Amino acid sequence: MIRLLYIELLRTLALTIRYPANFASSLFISTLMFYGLFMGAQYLSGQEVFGENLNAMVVGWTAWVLATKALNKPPLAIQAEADTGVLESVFLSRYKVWWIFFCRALSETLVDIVLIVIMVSLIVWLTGSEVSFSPAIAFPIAMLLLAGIGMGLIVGGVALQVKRLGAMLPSLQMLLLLLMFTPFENWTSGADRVIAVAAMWMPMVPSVVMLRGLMAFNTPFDPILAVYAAVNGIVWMAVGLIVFAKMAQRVKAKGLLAGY
Amino acid sequence: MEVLIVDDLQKAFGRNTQAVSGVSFRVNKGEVFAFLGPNGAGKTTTIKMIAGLLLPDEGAGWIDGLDPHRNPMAMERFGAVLEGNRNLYWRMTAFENMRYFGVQKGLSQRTASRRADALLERFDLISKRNHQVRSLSRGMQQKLAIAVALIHEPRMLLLDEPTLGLDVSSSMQVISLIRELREQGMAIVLTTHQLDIAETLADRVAIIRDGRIIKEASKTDLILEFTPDGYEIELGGELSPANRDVLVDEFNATFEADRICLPGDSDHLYNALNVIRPTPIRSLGRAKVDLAYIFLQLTEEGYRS
Ligand SMILES: Nc1ncnc2c1ncn2[C@@H]1O[C@H](COP(=O)(O)OP(=O)(O)OP(=O)(O)O)[C@@H](O)[C@H]1O
Ligand SMILES: [Mg+2]
Repeated sequence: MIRLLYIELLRTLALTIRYPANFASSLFISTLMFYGLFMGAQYLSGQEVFGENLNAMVVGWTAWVLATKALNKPPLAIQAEADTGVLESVFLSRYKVWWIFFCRALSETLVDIVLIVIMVSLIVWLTGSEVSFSPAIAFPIAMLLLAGIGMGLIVGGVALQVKRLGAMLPSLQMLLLLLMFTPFENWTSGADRVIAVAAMWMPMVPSVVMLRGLMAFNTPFDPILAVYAAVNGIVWMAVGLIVFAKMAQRVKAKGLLAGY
Repeated sequence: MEVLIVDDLQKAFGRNTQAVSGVSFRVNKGEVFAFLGPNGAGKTTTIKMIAGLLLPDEGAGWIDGLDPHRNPMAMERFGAVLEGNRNLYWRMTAFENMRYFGVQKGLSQRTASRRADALLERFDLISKRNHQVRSLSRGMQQKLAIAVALIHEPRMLLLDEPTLGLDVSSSMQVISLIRELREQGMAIVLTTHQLDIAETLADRVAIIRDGRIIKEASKTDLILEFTPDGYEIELGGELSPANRDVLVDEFNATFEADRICLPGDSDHLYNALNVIRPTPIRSLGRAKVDLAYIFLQLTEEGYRS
């Protein structure tokens, strides 16, 4: 099983740096985009973004980019592979397809993390600013990504059946944005509170709440919230795997593998 | 020894398309089984059900006694090259593809890498080891796809139209590869529309139409069955009109260009030769039919009935 994760990691790495010039330029462009975002925020707020604000911004952006990628990559890749036919070759594996695609999502996320750390370091270096995070943020980020991977697998599983899913992705991203940037932790009264409690079961929400707390408000590590985040991450990942496995089974029964 | 047992496979797509209705056959070690049939007959559907890619409505296939739909171990026992030319990752190199799919078939990274190099060498692809698949010619891609299917040293190979779109020399290479594998004891199931290829390669032949096998036999038996009794005689000179009439009237012979087609057994032949003497004979042999002729006979008969 580790074998599979390792080969998927090798594959992701090989494809990421296949064209070094492309790779470097896209890294550069993404860096610039974030740099622009950063400057824009400074301009809008009319003050220097530094310290806590900068930290929060960097982490928020990083988490959002990673989650979006985890959501988008499986369906897009599945679509492309079904179109060419290579998806069938993957289904000839002796491993379960949900496990293959989980390993893939995990290795892609790991590679994305490395890339984003490089970008953030570049920006920090470019702007001469300082960012500092407590190591505790690794935990909510990891749980957030687990849930993100789970969502990616759900959408990827649907993409196995409905080949033209591209049009739906932007609205899913909006939903993601909503989940990630709604300050549910401030909704403490009346009906809001009910929604906030329910929202804790939506994908990624407790992890994001925890992350925001740790970053922007410097609240101490909250073990109850941590349990929420962990359960949320694991449950959504499991849901993703189950949905994907079911969809793969359905595809085999209906003969939808080769783009019919 | 039976490597593949297919029993009563059935598959419908929706209500109106019964793609495969009750296909059964067996393939032995070291045997090439050719699956022939017109477009839409259900060849690919059958292959996919055997390969575990498509769940049969009814029936099952066992590779080495294992059903791919129930036992993932079965996936290690066969290799498959499906229709079309995009069954590898185009942006990965030849070597990376082999290693990747080798691990997918249960090999360790190291074994997969070692075998990848050995197979690339054997298939004359080693110079393309580090080239992306999309930069290879169609023939090379097909050879590579076969190499990938062999990396885990399976007992059986499923090949859906392995020579489709290949030029003559690439086809020849693929054919000799298939022969070589057969010599080594591989069980091979292939589909093709190129009947000459089936004729050179196949040990057994099944002809499928509308999802049903309408004929299955060893190639030699099949050809024998369709070979009419009688002989073909090719002459090296003119036959006198009188003798010609005798052959037609008394021996029921027919003339095709400079060939005489003579029905009947060898006594009949000896008597006819006495009539022909002393006209020189260029060649003499049993009347021949090829797979293409048989295929047309069987499939058209099917349409008529
Ligand atoms: N996934 C699918 N969904 C719906 N119909 C399908 C599907 N796959 C095959 N069919 C139909 O099933 C029938 C058999 O198709 P199949 O591809 O098995 O034929 P084939 O013998 O391989 O033909 P060809 O020689 O053209 O490759 C056809 O009528 C085809 O349209
Ligand atoms: Mg076909």
